[in-house]
Amino acid sequence: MFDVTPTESPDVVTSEPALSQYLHDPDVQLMLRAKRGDDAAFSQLVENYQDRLVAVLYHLLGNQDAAEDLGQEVFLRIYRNRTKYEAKAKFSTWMFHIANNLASNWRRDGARRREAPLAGSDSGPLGARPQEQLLAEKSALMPARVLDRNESQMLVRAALESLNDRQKMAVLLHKFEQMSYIDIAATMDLTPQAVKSLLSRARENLRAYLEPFF
Amino acid sequence: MAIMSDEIPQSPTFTEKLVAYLDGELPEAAAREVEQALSSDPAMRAEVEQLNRAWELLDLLPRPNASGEFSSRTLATLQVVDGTTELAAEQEIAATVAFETSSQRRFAVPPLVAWSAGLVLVSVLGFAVGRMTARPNSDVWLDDLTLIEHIDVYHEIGDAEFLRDLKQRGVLDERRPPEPR
Repeated sequence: MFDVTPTESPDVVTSEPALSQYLHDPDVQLMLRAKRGDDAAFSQLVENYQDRLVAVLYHLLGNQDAAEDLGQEVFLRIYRNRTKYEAKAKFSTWMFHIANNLASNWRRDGARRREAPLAGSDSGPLGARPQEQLLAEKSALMPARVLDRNESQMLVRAALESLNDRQKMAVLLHKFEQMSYIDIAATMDLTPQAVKSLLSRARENLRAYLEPFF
Repeated sequence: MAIMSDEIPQSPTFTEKLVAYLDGELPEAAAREVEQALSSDPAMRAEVEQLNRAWELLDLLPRPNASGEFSSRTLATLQVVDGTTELAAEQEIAATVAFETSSQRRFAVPPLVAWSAGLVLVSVLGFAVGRMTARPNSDVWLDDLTLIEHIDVYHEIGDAEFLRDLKQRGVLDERRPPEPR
Protein backbone atom coordinates (compact mmCIF):
# COMPACT_ATOMS: atom_id res chain seq x y z
CA MET A 1 0.00 0.00 0.00
CA PHE A 2 1.21 3.41 -0.90
CA ASP A 3 1.77 5.65 2.07
CA VAL A 4 1.33 9.00 0.39
CA THR A 5 -1.46 11.31 1.32
CA PRO A 6 -1.86 14.97 0.55
CA THR A 7 -1.23 15.88 4.15
CA GLU A 8 2.18 14.28 3.87
CA SER A 9 3.66 17.38 2.34
CA PRO A 10 7.43 17.36 2.44
CA ASP A 11 9.17 18.63 5.52
CA VAL A 12 9.78 22.32 5.54
CA VAL A 13 13.47 23.05 5.38
CA THR A 14 14.91 25.94 7.32
CA SER A 15 15.22 28.28 4.39
CA GLU A 16 11.88 27.39 2.86
CA PRO A 17 9.51 30.28 2.29
CA ALA A 18 6.62 30.91 4.63
CA LEU A 19 3.43 28.91 4.19
CA SER A 20 1.49 31.85 2.84
CA GLN A 21 3.88 32.15 -0.09
CA TYR A 22 2.54 28.94 -1.56
CA LEU A 23 -0.83 30.57 -1.91
CA HIS A 24 0.66 32.66 -4.73
CA ASP A 25 1.33 29.46 -6.70
CA PRO A 26 -1.47 29.44 -9.30
CA ASP A 27 -1.52 25.65 -9.21
CA VAL A 28 -1.99 25.72 -5.46
CA GLN A 29 -4.97 27.96 -6.11
CA LEU A 30 -6.32 25.43 -8.62
CA MET A 31 -5.86 22.69 -6.05
CA LEU A 32 -7.65 24.70 -3.40
CA ARG A 33 -10.54 25.19 -5.83
CA ALA A 34 -10.55 21.45 -6.47
CA LYS A 35 -10.65 20.93 -2.73
CA ARG A 36 -13.84 22.98 -2.64
CA GLY A 37 -15.37 20.71 -5.27
CA ASP A 38 -14.43 22.53 -8.47
CA ASP A 39 -13.73 19.63 -10.84
CA ALA A 40 -12.90 22.00 -13.69
CA ALA A 41 -9.96 23.26 -11.63
CA PHE A 42 -8.73 19.71 -11.15
CA SER A 43 -9.07 19.03 -14.89
CA GLN A 44 -6.92 22.09 -15.48
CA LEU A 45 -4.25 20.69 -13.16
CA VAL A 46 -4.26 17.42 -15.10
CA GLU A 47 -3.87 19.35 -18.34
CA ASN A 48 -1.06 21.47 -16.90
CA TYR A 49 0.98 18.62 -15.50
CA GLN A 50 0.27 15.48 -17.50
CA ASP A 51 3.17 15.89 -19.94
CA ARG A 52 5.67 16.94 -17.30
CA LEU A 53 4.69 14.08 -15.03
CA VAL A 54 4.73 11.45 -17.76
CA ALA A 55 8.12 12.64 -19.06
CA VAL A 56 9.75 12.24 -15.64
CA LEU A 57 8.05 8.91 -14.98
CA TYR A 58 9.01 7.67 -18.43
CA HIS A 59 12.70 7.98 -17.56
CA LEU A 60 12.23 6.68 -14.05
CA LEU A 61 10.33 3.58 -15.11
CA GLY A 62 11.69 3.01 -18.57
CA ASN A 63 8.54 2.84 -20.66
CA GLN A 64 5.60 4.92 -21.73
CA ASP A 65 2.77 2.61 -20.67
CA ALA A 66 4.05 2.30 -17.13
CA ALA A 67 4.65 6.05 -17.01
CA GLU A 68 1.05 6.77 -18.03
CA ASP A 69 -0.39 4.19 -15.66
CA LEU A 70 1.56 5.60 -12.76
CA GLY A 71 0.84 9.17 -13.84
CA GLN A 72 -2.85 8.36 -13.74
CA GLU A 73 -2.39 6.84 -10.29
CA VAL A 74 -0.69 10.02 -9.10
CA PHE A 75 -3.66 12.14 -10.19
CA LEU A 76 -6.02 9.60 -8.70
CA ARG A 77 -4.28 9.84 -5.35
CA ILE A 78 -4.43 13.59 -5.42
CA TYR A 79 -8.10 13.61 -6.38
CA ARG A 80 -9.13 11.08 -3.77
CA ASN A 81 -7.52 13.13 -1.04
CA ARG A 82 -8.36 16.57 -2.37
CA THR A 83 -10.60 17.45 0.55
CA LYS A 84 -7.68 16.96 2.95
CA TYR A 85 -5.29 19.11 0.90
CA GLU A 86 -3.26 21.76 2.68
CA ALA A 87 -1.03 24.25 0.88
CA LYS A 88 2.21 23.26 2.59
CA ALA A 89 4.34 23.25 -0.57
CA LYS A 90 4.27 24.17 -4.22
CA PHE A 91 1.82 21.97 -6.07
CA SER A 92 4.57 20.59 -8.34
CA THR A 93 6.75 19.69 -5.35
CA TRP A 94 3.90 17.87 -3.74
CA MET A 95 2.84 16.09 -6.93
CA PHE A 96 6.39 14.87 -7.69
CA HIS A 97 6.73 13.81 -4.06
CA ILE A 98 3.78 11.49 -4.58
CA ALA A 99 5.14 10.40 -7.97
CA ASN A 100 8.53 9.61 -6.44
CA ASN A 101 7.01 7.42 -3.76
CA LEU A 102 4.77 5.61 -6.21
CA ALA A 103 7.68 5.06 -8.59
CA SER A 104 9.79 3.65 -5.75
CA ASN A 105 7.03 1.20 -4.91
CA TRP A 106 6.62 0.31 -8.56
CA ARG A 107 10.30 -0.42 -8.95
CA ARG A 108 10.25 -2.61 -5.86
CA ASP A 109 7.40 -4.60 -7.31
CA GLY A 110 9.23 -7.00 -9.55
CA ALA A 111 6.11 -8.86 -10.59
CA ARG A 112 4.50 -5.73 -11.92
CA ARG A 113 7.65 -4.85 -13.74
CA ARG A 114 7.57 -8.21 -15.47
CA GLU A 115 3.99 -7.58 -16.53
CA ALA A 116 5.04 -4.41 -18.32
CA PRO A 117 7.84 -5.48 -20.62
CA LEU A 118 9.95 -2.78 -22.14
CA ALA A 119 9.88 -1.86 -25.77
CA GLY A 120 12.89 -3.06 -27.72
CA SER A 121 14.61 0.29 -27.82
CA ASP A 122 13.74 1.38 -24.30
CA SER A 123 16.21 1.60 -21.51
CA GLY A 124 15.09 -0.39 -18.52
CA PRO A 125 14.80 0.51 -14.90
CA LEU A 126 17.60 -1.92 -14.17
CA GLY A 127 20.04 -0.32 -16.55
CA ALA A 128 20.75 0.35 -20.16
CA ARG A 129 19.34 -2.04 -22.72
CA PRO A 130 21.83 -4.30 -24.51
CA GLN A 131 21.53 -2.22 -27.67
CA GLU A 132 22.60 0.88 -25.77
CA GLN A 133 25.39 -0.93 -24.00
CA LEU A 134 26.62 -2.32 -27.27
CA LEU A 135 26.63 1.10 -28.83
CA ALA A 136 28.48 2.57 -25.87
CA GLU A 137 31.11 -0.16 -26.01
CA LYS A 138 31.49 0.07 -29.77
CA SER A 139 31.71 3.83 -29.74
CA ALA A 140 34.22 3.82 -26.93
CA LEU A 141 36.58 1.93 -29.20
CA MET A 142 36.20 4.67 -31.80
CA PRO A 143 36.49 7.93 -29.92
CA ALA A 144 36.97 9.98 -33.07
CA ARG A 145 33.75 8.71 -34.56
CA VAL A 146 31.02 11.29 -34.89
CA LEU A 147 27.76 10.01 -33.47
CA ASP A 148 24.52 10.85 -35.16
CA ARG A 149 21.66 12.24 -33.12
CA ASN A 150 19.96 8.91 -32.51
CA GLU A 151 23.16 7.32 -31.34
CA SER A 152 23.92 10.28 -29.11
CA GLN A 153 20.46 10.06 -27.66
CA MET A 154 20.88 6.37 -26.92
CA LEU A 155 24.21 7.03 -25.24
CA VAL A 156 22.75 9.74 -23.06
CA ARG A 157 19.90 7.46 -22.09
CA ALA A 158 22.39 4.76 -21.23
CA ALA A 159 24.32 7.29 -19.14
CA LEU A 160 21.15 8.23 -17.28
CA GLU A 161 20.35 4.59 -16.72
CA SER A 162 23.78 4.11 -15.19
CA LEU A 163 22.71 6.31 -12.28
CA ASN A 164 21.00 4.89 -9.25
CA ASP A 165 17.31 5.67 -8.73
CA ARG A 166 17.83 8.58 -6.36
CA GLN A 167 20.48 10.19 -8.53
CA LYS A 168 18.25 9.76 -11.54
CA MET A 169 15.25 11.34 -9.84
CA ALA A 170 17.32 14.29 -8.64
CA VAL A 171 18.76 14.79 -12.13
CA LEU A 172 15.34 14.61 -13.78
CA LEU A 173 13.78 17.06 -11.35
CA HIS A 174 16.68 19.45 -11.76
CA LYS A 175 17.03 19.10 -15.52
CA PHE A 176 13.41 18.71 -16.62
CA GLU A 177 11.65 20.67 -13.89
CA GLN A 178 14.39 23.19 -13.10
CA MET A 179 13.77 22.51 -9.44
CA SER A 180 16.01 24.13 -6.85
CA TYR A 181 17.94 22.02 -4.36
CA ILE A 182 15.38 22.97 -1.72
CA ASP A 183 12.45 21.80 -3.82
CA ILE A 184 14.23 18.58 -4.80
CA ALA A 185 14.97 17.99 -1.13
CA ALA A 186 11.30 18.51 -0.29
CA THR A 187 10.22 16.21 -3.11
CA MET A 188 12.59 13.42 -2.15
CA ASP A 189 12.48 13.76 1.65
CA LEU A 190 16.14 14.80 1.81
CA THR A 191 18.08 17.76 3.13
CA PRO A 192 19.33 20.36 0.64
CA GLN A 193 22.89 19.31 1.54
CA ALA A 194 22.07 15.71 0.68
CA VAL A 195 20.67 16.86 -2.66
CA LYS A 196 23.85 18.81 -3.30
CA SER A 197 25.94 15.67 -2.73
CA LEU A 198 23.52 13.53 -4.73
CA LEU A 199 23.61 15.80 -7.75
CA SER A 200 27.36 16.18 -7.51
CA ARG A 201 27.86 12.42 -7.63
CA ALA A 202 25.29 12.09 -10.40
CA ARG A 203 27.06 14.67 -12.55
CA GLU A 204 30.41 13.05 -11.92
CA ASN A 205 28.97 9.73 -13.04
CA LEU A 206 27.43 11.26 -16.15
CA ARG A 207 30.69 12.91 -17.05
CA ALA A 208 32.61 9.67 -16.54
CA TYR A 209 30.14 7.80 -18.75
CA LEU A 210 29.97 10.36 -21.52
CA GLU A 211 33.50 11.75 -21.50
CA PRO A 212 34.80 9.29 -24.11
CA PHE A 213 32.29 10.68 -26.59
CA PHE A 214 33.00 14.39 -26.10
CA MET B 1 39.10 30.00 1.59
CA ALA B 2 40.70 30.01 -1.83
CA ILE B 3 39.87 27.10 -4.13
CA MET B 4 42.87 25.21 -5.44
CA SER B 5 42.78 22.92 -8.46
CA ASP B 6 44.63 20.21 -6.54
CA GLU B 7 41.46 19.79 -4.48
CA ILE B 8 39.79 18.17 -7.49
CA PRO B 9 40.85 14.53 -7.12
CA GLN B 10 40.75 14.48 -3.33
CA SER B 11 37.75 16.44 -2.21
CA PRO B 12 34.21 15.48 -3.09
CA THR B 13 33.12 18.75 -1.53
CA PHE B 14 35.08 20.59 -4.18
CA THR B 15 33.08 18.92 -6.96
CA GLU B 16 29.94 19.64 -4.98
CA LYS B 17 30.93 23.28 -4.92
CA LEU B 18 31.62 23.33 -8.65
CA VAL B 19 28.33 21.60 -9.41
CA ALA B 20 26.45 23.94 -7.08
CA TYR B 21 28.12 26.83 -8.85
CA LEU B 22 26.99 25.51 -12.23
CA ASP B 23 23.49 25.04 -10.84
CA GLY B 24 23.40 28.60 -9.50
CA GLU B 25 22.97 27.28 -5.97
CA LEU B 26 26.04 28.86 -4.37
CA PRO B 27 25.75 31.96 -2.22
CA GLU B 28 27.17 35.05 -3.88
CA ALA B 29 30.47 35.10 -1.96
CA ALA B 30 31.20 31.42 -2.66
CA ALA B 31 30.30 31.88 -6.32
CA ARG B 32 32.80 34.74 -6.58
CA GLU B 33 35.50 32.48 -5.12
CA VAL B 34 34.81 29.83 -7.72
CA GLU B 35 34.90 32.38 -10.51
CA GLN B 36 38.25 33.69 -9.34
CA ALA B 37 39.65 30.18 -9.17
CA LEU B 38 38.33 29.36 -12.64
CA SER B 39 39.90 32.44 -14.13
CA SER B 40 43.33 31.37 -12.92
CA ASP B 41 43.19 27.59 -13.22
CA PRO B 42 42.91 25.91 -16.65
CA ALA B 43 42.50 22.43 -15.14
CA MET B 44 39.57 23.58 -13.12
CA ARG B 45 38.05 25.22 -16.18
CA ALA B 46 38.40 21.91 -18.05
CA GLU B 47 36.71 20.14 -15.16
CA VAL B 48 33.82 22.54 -15.19
CA GLU B 49 33.62 22.36 -18.96
CA GLN B 50 33.26 18.57 -18.90
CA LEU B 51 30.68 18.63 -16.14
CA ASN B 52 28.74 21.21 -18.06
CA ARG B 53 28.96 19.36 -21.34
CA ALA B 54 27.73 16.11 -19.85
CA TRP B 55 24.84 18.01 -18.30
CA GLU B 56 23.93 19.69 -21.57
CA LEU B 57 23.89 16.35 -23.33
CA LEU B 58 20.89 15.47 -21.20
CA ASP B 59 18.97 17.85 -23.44
CA LEU B 60 19.03 15.02 -25.97
CA LEU B 61 16.82 12.91 -23.74
CA PRO B 62 13.37 12.45 -25.18
CA ARG B 63 10.54 14.06 -23.27
CA PRO B 64 7.53 12.07 -24.32
CA ASN B 65 4.17 13.72 -23.85
CA ALA B 66 1.23 11.97 -22.36
CA SER B 67 -0.87 10.23 -25.00
CA GLY B 68 -3.92 12.01 -26.38
CA GLU B 69 -6.25 9.90 -24.29
CA PHE B 70 -4.38 10.37 -21.03
CA SER B 71 -6.36 13.36 -19.88
CA SER B 72 -9.78 12.02 -20.83
CA ARG B 73 -8.95 8.58 -19.49
CA THR B 74 -7.72 10.01 -16.22
CA LEU B 75 -10.73 12.27 -15.79
CA ALA B 76 -13.07 9.39 -16.64
CA THR B 77 -11.37 7.30 -13.97
CA LEU B 78 -11.80 10.12 -11.51
CA GLN B 79 -15.52 10.25 -12.32
CA VAL B 80 -15.74 6.54 -11.67
CA VAL B 81 -13.90 7.06 -8.39
CA ASP B 82 -16.20 9.94 -7.56
CA GLY B 83 -19.22 7.86 -8.53
CA THR B 84 -17.90 4.98 -6.53
CA THR B 85 -17.40 7.29 -3.59
CA GLU B 86 -20.90 8.68 -3.93
CA LEU B 87 -22.27 5.21 -4.42
CA ALA B 88 -20.38 4.05 -1.37
CA ALA B 89 -21.79 6.98 0.57
CA GLU B 90 -25.30 6.15 -0.64
CA GLN B 91 -24.77 2.51 0.23
CA GLU B 92 -23.54 3.57 3.62
CA ILE B 93 -26.62 5.69 4.14
CA ALA B 94 -28.84 2.88 2.86
CA ALA B 95 -27.07 0.44 5.14
CA THR B 96 -27.57 2.79 8.06
CA VAL B 97 -31.24 3.20 7.26
CA ALA B 98 -31.62 -0.55 6.82
CA PHE B 99 -29.86 -1.12 10.10
CA GLU B 100 -32.12 1.36 11.87
CA THR B 101 -35.21 -0.18 10.30
CA SER B 102 -34.13 -3.68 11.19
CA SER B 103 -33.32 -2.49 14.70
CA GLN B 104 -36.79 -1.03 14.98
CA ARG B 105 -38.25 -4.22 13.55
CA ARG B 106 -36.18 -6.28 15.92
CA PHE B 107 -37.91 -4.67 18.87
CA ALA B 108 -41.35 -4.12 17.26
CA VAL B 109 -44.23 -6.65 17.95
CA PRO B 110 -46.44 -7.46 14.97
CA PRO B 111 -50.19 -6.74 15.62
CA LEU B 112 -51.27 -10.35 15.05
CA VAL B 113 -48.84 -11.61 17.67
CA ALA B 114 -50.00 -8.90 20.07
CA TRP B 115 -53.66 -9.85 19.63
CA SER B 116 -52.88 -13.54 20.06
CA ALA B 117 -50.87 -12.89 23.17
CA GLY B 118 -53.72 -10.75 24.52
CA LEU B 119 -56.25 -13.51 23.91
CA VAL B 120 -54.07 -16.10 25.57
CA LEU B 121 -53.57 -13.81 28.53
CA VAL B 122 -57.29 -13.16 28.88
CA SER B 123 -58.02 -16.89 28.59
CA VAL B 124 -55.47 -17.75 31.24
CA LEU B 125 -56.83 -15.06 33.55
CA GLY B 126 -60.39 -16.18 32.95
CA PHE B 127 -59.48 -19.78 33.64
CA ALA B 128 -57.71 -18.82 36.83
CA VAL B 129 -60.62 -16.69 38.04
CA GLY B 130 -63.07 -19.44 37.11
CA ARG B 131 -61.00 -22.01 39.00
CA MET B 132 -61.00 -19.82 42.04
CA THR B 133 -64.72 -19.00 42.01
CA ALA B 134 -66.36 -22.15 40.60
CA ARG B 135 -67.43 -24.98 42.89
CA PRO B 136 -66.12 -28.42 42.13
CA ASN B 137 -68.42 -30.73 40.06
CA SER B 138 -68.42 -33.30 42.81
CA ASP B 139 -70.14 -30.79 45.13
CA VAL B 140 -72.92 -30.22 42.58
CA TRP B 141 -73.47 -33.99 42.23
CA LEU B 142 -73.65 -34.41 45.99
CA ASP B 143 -76.26 -31.63 46.25
CA ASP B 144 -78.41 -33.36 43.66
CA LEU B 145 -77.77 -36.87 44.90
CA THR B 146 -81.35 -37.37 46.10
CA LEU B 147 -82.74 -36.16 42.81
CA ILE B 148 -80.37 -38.40 40.92
CA GLU B 149 -81.36 -41.41 43.00
CA HIS B 150 -85.09 -40.86 42.23
CA ILE B 151 -84.74 -39.74 38.68
CA ASP B 152 -86.53 -42.85 37.30
CA VAL B 153 -89.58 -42.22 39.54
CA TYR B 154 -89.69 -38.63 38.47
CA HIS B 155 -89.60 -39.71 34.84
CA GLU B 156 -92.50 -42.13 35.41
CA ILE B 157 -94.65 -39.45 37.11
CA GLY B 158 -93.79 -36.90 34.45
CA ASP B 159 -95.69 -33.96 36.16
CA ALA B 160 -94.06 -31.57 38.61
CA GLU B 161 -97.47 -30.39 39.97
CA PHE B 162 -98.58 -33.91 40.71
CA LEU B 163 -95.24 -34.56 42.42
CA ARG B 164 -95.68 -31.52 44.64
CA ASP B 165 -99.17 -32.81 45.53
CA LEU B 166 -97.81 -36.25 46.41
CA LYS B 167 -95.06 -34.68 48.50
CA GLN B 168 -97.59 -32.60 50.47
CA ARG B 169 -99.57 -35.70 51.19
CA GLY B 170 -96.44 -37.53 52.36
CA VAL B 171 -96.72 -40.26 49.78
CA LEU B 172 -93.19 -39.93 48.56
CA ASP B 173 -91.73 -40.29 52.05
CA GLU B 174 -93.08 -43.81 52.37
CA ARG B 175 -92.72 -45.01 48.80
CA ARG B 176 -89.50 -46.62 47.63
CA PRO B 177 -88.68 -46.28 43.99
CA PRO B 178 -89.29 -49.50 42.07
CA GLU B 179 -86.38 -51.78 41.27
CA PRO B 180 -85.16 -51.36 37.67
CA ARG B 181 -86.29 -54.16 35.46
